[in-house]
Amino acid sequence: MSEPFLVCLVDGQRVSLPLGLVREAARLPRIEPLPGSPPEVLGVAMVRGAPVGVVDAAQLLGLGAYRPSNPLPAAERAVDGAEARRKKVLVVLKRPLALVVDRIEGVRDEPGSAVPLPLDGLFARPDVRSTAIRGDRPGAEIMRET
Amino acid sequence: MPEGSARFLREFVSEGETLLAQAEEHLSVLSEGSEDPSPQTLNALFRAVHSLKGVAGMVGLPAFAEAAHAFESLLDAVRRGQLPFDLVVANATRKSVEALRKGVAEVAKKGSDSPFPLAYFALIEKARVPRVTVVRPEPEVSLPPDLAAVISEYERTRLVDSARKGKTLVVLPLEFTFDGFDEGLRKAMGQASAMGELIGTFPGASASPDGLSFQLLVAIPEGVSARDLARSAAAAAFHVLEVSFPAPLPGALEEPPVVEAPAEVAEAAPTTAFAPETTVRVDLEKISHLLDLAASLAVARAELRRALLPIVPRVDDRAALREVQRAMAGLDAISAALSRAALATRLVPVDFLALRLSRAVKQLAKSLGKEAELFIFGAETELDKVLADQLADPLMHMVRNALDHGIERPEEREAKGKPRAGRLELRAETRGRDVLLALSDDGRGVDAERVLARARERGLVAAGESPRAEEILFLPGFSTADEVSEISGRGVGLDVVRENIRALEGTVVLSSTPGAGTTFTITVPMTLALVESLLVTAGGRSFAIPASAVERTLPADQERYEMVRGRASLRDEAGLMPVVRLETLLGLSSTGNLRTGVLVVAQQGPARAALVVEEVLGLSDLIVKPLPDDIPRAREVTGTAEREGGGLTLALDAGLLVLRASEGES
Repeated sequence: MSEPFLVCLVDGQRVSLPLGLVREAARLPRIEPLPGSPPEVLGVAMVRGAPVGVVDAAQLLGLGAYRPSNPLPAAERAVDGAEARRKKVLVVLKRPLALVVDRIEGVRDEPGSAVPLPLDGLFARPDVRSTAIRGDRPGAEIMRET
Repeated sequence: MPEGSARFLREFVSEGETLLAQAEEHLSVLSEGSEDPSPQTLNALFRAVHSLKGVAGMVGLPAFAEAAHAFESLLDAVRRGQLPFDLVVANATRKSVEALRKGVAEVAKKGSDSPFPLAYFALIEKARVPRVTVVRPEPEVSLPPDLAAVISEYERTRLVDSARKGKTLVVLPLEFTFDGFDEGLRKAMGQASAMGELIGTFPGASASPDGLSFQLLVAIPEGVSARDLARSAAAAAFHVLEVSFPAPLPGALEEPPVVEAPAEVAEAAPTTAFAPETTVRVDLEKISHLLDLAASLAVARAELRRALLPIVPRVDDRAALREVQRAMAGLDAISAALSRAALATRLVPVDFLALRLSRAVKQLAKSLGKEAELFIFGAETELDKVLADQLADPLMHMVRNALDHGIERPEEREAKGKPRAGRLELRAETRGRDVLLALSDDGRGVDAERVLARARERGLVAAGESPRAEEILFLPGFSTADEVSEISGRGVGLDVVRENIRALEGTVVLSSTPGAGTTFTITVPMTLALVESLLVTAGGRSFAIPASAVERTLPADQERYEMVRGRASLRDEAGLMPVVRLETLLGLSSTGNLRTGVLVVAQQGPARAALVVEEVLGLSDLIVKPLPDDIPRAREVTGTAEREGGGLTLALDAGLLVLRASEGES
């Protein structure tokens, strides 16, 4: 049986990621921008006492505005729209990484028309992903907040 | 002293003389009536010596700092009630103050320090041996929860000690307006100190939205009434704490016997068979969980505060608002205290390792017919307990190695003009996101030719190759010992040490000077650490720089810069250093120039840089959590720490900042 997928909404588009990678979903915490990080990295946040890198799923998909001339474009954008931010959801992965999405649609057996989120090569640790898929029970701690 | 300018030394001498004068004054007060020494005076004496140690460390006088540290440890044991201030301690205290005074005079004269005589340390050690341990029932004091959450270990010791002596424990709530609260508080504290012992001053929950409240915890002797104390301190109310003494255990003696503590075990176990068990083993997983919960509580508290902010202006019910404010203040205090307490359960000072190593050194040296002593620097550096446990074996191996192969026999050392006893030094410090542990000996060093010859004999090195001896020593199967010795030649070589350290994602490096000694330097990433940090703002954000790397701070607008190779530079007695804005180094947009804000002079070894920041917020002990390597960022950012009141501070690697600032120069 194939692994289920978590389907989320990002900038009006359905995206999917393997459920085995996901640890939990949470409200967006305060994010501290990180100097010198690429635009899709919004910064760092503390999740259950541990620092995780927070990635803007929209930027990851190439849907967001890319402004390479500014050293912290994504971060500044995130700080601006406080109201919009409040409604977003943090999808925490089983590695020091979390994704900001607009909404969680649900868990599906097949991704269907949802676009897979391009997580490969996001951070340079190729072994991490396969370990997470092999070793974990998928979806155990998913908490839906939509 | 290899580094440091004349100006720092002058400052040290001036500060040192002032602190020692204070110490002598406290000592004379203590000597007048040593029956029941004043805790405030003892504490003040301890603080003077503690400051002296800090100043010596800051200006690079390690021998002086080491001597002050030994003295400080003795005073700490006395102020915590672990040792009485008796004639032995009083004598050691007086002589230590004299010795430190001579040390300051030496620095003033020669511009450097030199190791204190062994007799100095021996005197202190002798005074630290518990002579008699008497078991007394521990009184139980019913502290209000808000005080119980914030009281320090020292304050608790004072509280229990006062209760044991039959003193009355009083909490005085004080309420002030913002204007002039400092004056009122100072007066109340003065009154409390005059009438009893002021154990601590704590924040209270203010009843008025524009008021400030405090609580004084005071122990008053017989003959002083709590009511009079409250009246004198202008407190509207007072609360006397209940003290109870637990009933003796069935079968226990009414008056437990006086027990002589054997000298060998005195340090580790200053209790007796009658003492109740005061420790409990807890699974580290549970402690990690507690830490995570404490962190989550801090985040939830910040969220609650954020959520309440827009609501407050719309609420007309002032009484309800006050209740919310009071509850939030209580939650803030408890949350902060819980975070610290949770962390404290997992952090241990390097002393934890040092005690084990120190005993091993004595025993091993004796069995080898050698003499050696272990000196520890940075013993207060705190490590995650898990990491400390994993480092214990490799360090023990290195100690064995140093004693077996490095330190010469006493006669041989004398013939070489060295002291009979070998000197081992363990230095611990945090650097960026790493913990550094360096173990040095002043033995014979590595004989490179012999090492290479032995490696060739064993076929570990091919005929044409000549790798460095420091590398060969870490090869599996290598040993220079002609016979398997009792101590280090049990088939476990340095290769295993290296493997163990690698498993912690660390490195171990050996450096050696023939005839002068060998140093092993272990570098391991911190899993968790409490780092004293200078909090600054740059580019509108807050950053933490390890205080150990900060030499000083200066107003930016009062310094004269020189242009050297087209770059602004600052010159002082110690030389020239680049001046650069911190946010520019980190690639953030800058609004200021080199003349606005504060200069933070950071150092890394001999290299220095003046970093211009917007504001210095102060010093703070931060729980720094290292950022995983795979979060992309400027490499100067090494970790994160939660700020009081919510939000994160980014912890910076001072060494890399200095390096980056200097890079532009060439």
